[in-house]
Amino acid sequence: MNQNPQSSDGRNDDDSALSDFLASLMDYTPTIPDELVEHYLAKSGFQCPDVRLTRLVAVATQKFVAEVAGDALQHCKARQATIPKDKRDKQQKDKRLVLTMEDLSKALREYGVNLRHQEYFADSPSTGMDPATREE
Amino acid sequence: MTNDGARFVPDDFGHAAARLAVAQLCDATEFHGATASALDAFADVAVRDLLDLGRIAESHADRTQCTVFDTIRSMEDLEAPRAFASAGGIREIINFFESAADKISFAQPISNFWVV
Repeated sequence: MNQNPQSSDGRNDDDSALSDFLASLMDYTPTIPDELVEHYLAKSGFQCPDVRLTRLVAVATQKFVAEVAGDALQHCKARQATIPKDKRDKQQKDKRLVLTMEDLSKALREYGVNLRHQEYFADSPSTGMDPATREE
Repeated sequence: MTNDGARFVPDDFGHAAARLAVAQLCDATEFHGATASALDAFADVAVRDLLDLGRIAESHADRTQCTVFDTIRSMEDLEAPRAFASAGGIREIINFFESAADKISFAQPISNFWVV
């Protein structure tokens, strides 16, 4: 045959890894619930009664959300590190890491998703203030 | 999105559940909190990811039902914009699955709800 043993072994390893992975999905409960995934898959035309595929899609989306959240966390920490030191004592209690549209849009840009903050969105107390005084 | 006191939108329940799931995943990533607009936008992105995965898998299937290979191809298609960032989409899914030591389940049980 034209197949060399090395590629055949590699393919067998991938196949067995996929089979083991699908089998273990039966015992796994993703963070994104099965009912939610089934709803949106059905909405998009996906038809498959196998719960393993539903959970496979749930794990894929969960991985995507976890990666974006991790990138947004790095942006959030970097943003907090830029606070001047003389003002850091005043904001010692505000060390909490809060996900904002700024962090999320920067993280999603790496994934090709363009996300912009809505204009005039009143979700922060600095809305409406001059940009120069917003940093205070 | 969140509509306080406004008319009921057919996808309100799905987005509310997605928002809670995304909040749990952000909480697992050391975030202490999230602004309402960021959480709404993030849930919307997650919902679009689910819809795109289903739509692309359905387009790959040449029969009525989708198989696992159609699903894998849809994941690889969505990974295409980051062509050089990763290789072997399903391998990364398996690695993520095995490394997720803190497996968080959804906060509340929900029932199946209809496609409107």
